[in-house]
Amino acid sequence: MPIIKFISRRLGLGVVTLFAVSLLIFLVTQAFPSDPAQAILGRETTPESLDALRQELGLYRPAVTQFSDWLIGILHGDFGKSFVTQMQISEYIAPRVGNSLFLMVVGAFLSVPLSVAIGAFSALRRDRKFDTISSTTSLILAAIPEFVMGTALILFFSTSIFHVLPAITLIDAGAAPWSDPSGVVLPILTLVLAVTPYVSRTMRASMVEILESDYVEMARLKGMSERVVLIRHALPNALGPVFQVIALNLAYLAGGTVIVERLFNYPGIGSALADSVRARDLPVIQFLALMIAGVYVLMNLVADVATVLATPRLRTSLK
Amino acid sequence: MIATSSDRPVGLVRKALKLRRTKIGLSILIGVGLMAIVGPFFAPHTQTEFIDMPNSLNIPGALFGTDYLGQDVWSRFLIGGRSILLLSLGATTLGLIAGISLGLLAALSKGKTDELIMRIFDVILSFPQILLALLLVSMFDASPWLTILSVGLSTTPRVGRVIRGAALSVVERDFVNAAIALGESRFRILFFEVLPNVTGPLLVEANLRFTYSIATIASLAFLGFAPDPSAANWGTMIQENSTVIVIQPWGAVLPVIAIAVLTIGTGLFGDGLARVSAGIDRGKESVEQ
Amino acid sequence: MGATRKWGFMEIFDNQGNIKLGEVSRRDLLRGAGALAIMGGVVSTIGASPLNAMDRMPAIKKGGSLRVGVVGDIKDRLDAHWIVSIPDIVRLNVGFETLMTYDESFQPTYADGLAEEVTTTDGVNWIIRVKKGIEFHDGKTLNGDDLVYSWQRMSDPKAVHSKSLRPFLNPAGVSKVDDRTVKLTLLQANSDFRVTLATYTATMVPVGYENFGINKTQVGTGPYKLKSFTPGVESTHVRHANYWDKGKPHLDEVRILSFSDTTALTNALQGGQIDVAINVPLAMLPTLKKDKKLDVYSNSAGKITPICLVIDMDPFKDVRTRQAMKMLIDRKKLLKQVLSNNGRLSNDDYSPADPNYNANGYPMQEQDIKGALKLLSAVGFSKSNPVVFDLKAPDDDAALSGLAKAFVEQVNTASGGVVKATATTVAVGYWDTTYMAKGVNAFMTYYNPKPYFPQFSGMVFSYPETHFPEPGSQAKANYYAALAEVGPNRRAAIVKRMQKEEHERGGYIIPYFVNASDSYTKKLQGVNKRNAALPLDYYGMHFKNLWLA
Repeated sequence: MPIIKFISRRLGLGVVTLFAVSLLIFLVTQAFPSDPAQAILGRETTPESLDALRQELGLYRPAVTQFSDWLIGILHGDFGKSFVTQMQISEYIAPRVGNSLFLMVVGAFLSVPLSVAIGAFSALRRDRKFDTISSTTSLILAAIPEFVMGTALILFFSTSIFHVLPAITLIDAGAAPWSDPSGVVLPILTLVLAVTPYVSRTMRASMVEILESDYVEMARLKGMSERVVLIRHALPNALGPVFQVIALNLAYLAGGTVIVERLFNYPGIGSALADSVRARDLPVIQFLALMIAGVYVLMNLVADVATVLATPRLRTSLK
Repeated sequence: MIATSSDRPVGLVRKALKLRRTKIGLSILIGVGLMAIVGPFFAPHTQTEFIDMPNSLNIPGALFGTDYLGQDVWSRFLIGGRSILLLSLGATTLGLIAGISLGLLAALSKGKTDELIMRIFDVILSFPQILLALLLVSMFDASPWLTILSVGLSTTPRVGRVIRGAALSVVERDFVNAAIALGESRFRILFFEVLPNVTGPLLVEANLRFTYSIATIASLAFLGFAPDPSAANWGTMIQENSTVIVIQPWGAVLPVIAIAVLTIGTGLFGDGLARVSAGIDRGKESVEQ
Repeated sequence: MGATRKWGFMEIFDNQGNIKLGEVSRRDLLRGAGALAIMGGVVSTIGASPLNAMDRMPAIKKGGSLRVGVVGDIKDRLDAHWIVSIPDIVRLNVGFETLMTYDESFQPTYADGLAEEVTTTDGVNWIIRVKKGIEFHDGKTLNGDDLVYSWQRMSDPKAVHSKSLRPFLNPAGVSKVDDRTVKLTLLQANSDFRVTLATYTATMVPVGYENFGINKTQVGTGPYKLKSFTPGVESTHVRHANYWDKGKPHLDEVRILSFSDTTALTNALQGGQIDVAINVPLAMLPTLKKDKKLDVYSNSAGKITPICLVIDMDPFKDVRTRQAMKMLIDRKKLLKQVLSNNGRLSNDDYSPADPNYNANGYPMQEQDIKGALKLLSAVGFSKSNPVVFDLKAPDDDAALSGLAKAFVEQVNTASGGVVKATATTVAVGYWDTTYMAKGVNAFMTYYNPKPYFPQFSGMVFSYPETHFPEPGSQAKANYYAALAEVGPNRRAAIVKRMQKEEHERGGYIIPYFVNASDSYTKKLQGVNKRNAALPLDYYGMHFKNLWLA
């Protein structure tokens, strides 16, 4: 089956990319101008304890061995220990992954249908009032950086104008992020406002193109009702490129939330990354960077496959 | 998504300027840009001068009051745009040069070189832009060059992919084949035959990357990675003054507005360019109508 | 952003203070009595100092959970003796206790300490007996072996945290007397050793206590025991049912939440998401004071944020350059600019609550530009050959980075170009890479309030930031002699000599004392508003005095 061949080729490429990504992360973090042992023990330590810790951390191994040990460890589910907290990374990261996943999933559930609807409707109402307003709004929203948007939302809803929503998110240890629903409103709103413009703009463009295409014309000529044309022919074909954008945005949500999580004190992987960068916690930085890159690669893969499967034109061309 | 070969940068912009959004975008860009460039000359105080009690409003001679360190908010605002603008320009330029070169090279050489360049792009693209910049800037102390380099580097593959895509179809055309047959050097072909034919997508992309560079560099400053932390900088100002936003809003609100307006301006301008060059997304305001 | 942190042991064993040996006892006995009275559940006030303001309070309400906010990150750690930053100090205080504590004038007292009696005859041999029936979180009773183990762990020469204790104690000098008593044999006489007992990191732990970083079985004697801890996020501490100070603690639970920066912290406090915010930005004080739901307490015991000029590095090698810098600044203006006047002026000196403060009676240094320029030109500096240096500061504390920026602006402007200084803030790893690093000649630091001798020890032994004293100086010998000296007059004479040398040749510029401020909900009761080494009077003495109305 050509589809299987296509997927396995994309999968192979993904694995190669991930390997290169891990190599890059390793090389880049090795270039940190500080000795992890020194950073852990502080400046007043003795040479002996430095030596012992370097031994324990395996810093005397050749770089190639360090890299392969790290990679093999990760493949076996052993992500190593944080230099700073001495916790197992898996233990430290797991609740944060859950928290970030929550942001990401809720953000996606709100923004994707919303933006597909806005995009499709704009395309149908091309150049009418709704289209003009929505495309201008999305253009403006897309341009504003998240920390500016987030700060503006905090100003508006929490501190200066209204005092209706908490300015920060507090999640109890072991508690689910939705245990404090009002606390997650602003971070989710910021993410939705960051993602929706892109997806809706892509959806609109894609829909416009499809609506002008020959086969939609053909379908209309065959006498199908406009409703059938739209739902059976236009929409599925228009969704292809949208999958790409959705996937990219999901991937962005996985890693690009550094700013949003920092702003709202949200205990997710984005803030964990910002924290470990400041603390120069190499194993955590390496793991998080790899994980985020992994999500990116995976999302792209899923998007490619979904595009092919969802788009009748492409599906036939593979056969 | 190819521009027609008649599209030259000037012509394209002129065409785009017939659209209202491009006009608005360009005027915003010029306005904010001008303010950022010449604003420092009109600042009533220096950026580090102590004026009066910190976080005060209603201070004679200080239009928007004082900031967290008793410095003049208005002066720092006037001064604080320049470095963001210059760094963003630098990073975008670097990303464009590298992206164009590699993208064109990939398109022209095809085969293994193409594959290699594209895989390298994939690897860099696997990191969200802010993440890559954050990693690089935090590893070495923040300096203007490092900021430009790291943001430029994360821009390169995005530009490269677009240019390659646009150039691929140009490469197939007769005049390129003719040039190759005539024995012209690869460099000449790339930059004198192919490049002029992809200016449409290039301009659009350049504008888009500029918008993102502003956002990334301001975000880095917001996270505490500004090249000169004492200097006024819109991103730094938001970080410094957001604690006291309830008492003294201007220190954070002015730069918030400025960054928003600036990025909206570049966004509108870019959108106008896209409409006249790329042929996608033709709204009412398209010149063909 | 982030907590202000040094990479370790900042507050550890800098404390050799100043109860006078032999002079003991009426005062001490009184304090002991006070402690015993509290033990028995009797509310008492000693002398002029209200030990406990609870006698004016309404009936105490038991139970509830207190949410304490503090700026912290994944570097948050738990250890009974080696901690780093403000959140660590808070967590240490919830679960661990010391043998003695400080009163409001930084004299050691038995109140709220584990010790019942601390005696010496010669300043070398110290006998420490603890109160009866002190129980650890795991149900074990604190005994002689635990005391020996605790002191040996604290004085372990291999440990990072033992640096300023090392001249006085090594593990061999610790021996058990009986089940409640331990004997310490010091390496040299220290008549003020009680001050060490009152240092908040000199806590008692059970035999075998070992820890690095995070450990879920943190066992101490404090009023709350650890339930959970996630660095950079939170820790939860629950009531210790068998706590020795009967009738306390009042709360069921204390939760300590980390915030990424002061903006998030104050937002949470104002939004009612936390009950207490530790170390709020001074700029926010007017707003917080106006808030009807909140109270603010400023501790004016003498927190300092010194500018360190390294005295054996150019351009500060010449003592006249150092003096010129001290003369160029306008202290009143710095106080206004950086602290919004929430503090008071300092003459580059420290420990204002100490009886030895400014023993020579030096007048406050006024800005003296002419005098400074004269000194600088005598050294050979001019506009064409300016004094050039870069003052480094961490970016996560506006009090440090703000002072650095304001200082640089002042010396540059006042000197009219003879000084060309810059201020650099370091975003990553300031305390690891920049602070006290080789080749760095000017940088920022901070100290919580403490008595004169511990502060001196901190600046000379634990953190030789400015490389003071100069070669050939008698400063260190003076310090040891002063601690060994019993006669108050002779001791005062030595202190005067020490302070004279610091005043004339030191490398610290300390323009002011900071009013470290904390804010909390008006519902919070039991806060004793007095001068203390730690916020909110040692966080309401390990949170045991606090309750929610």
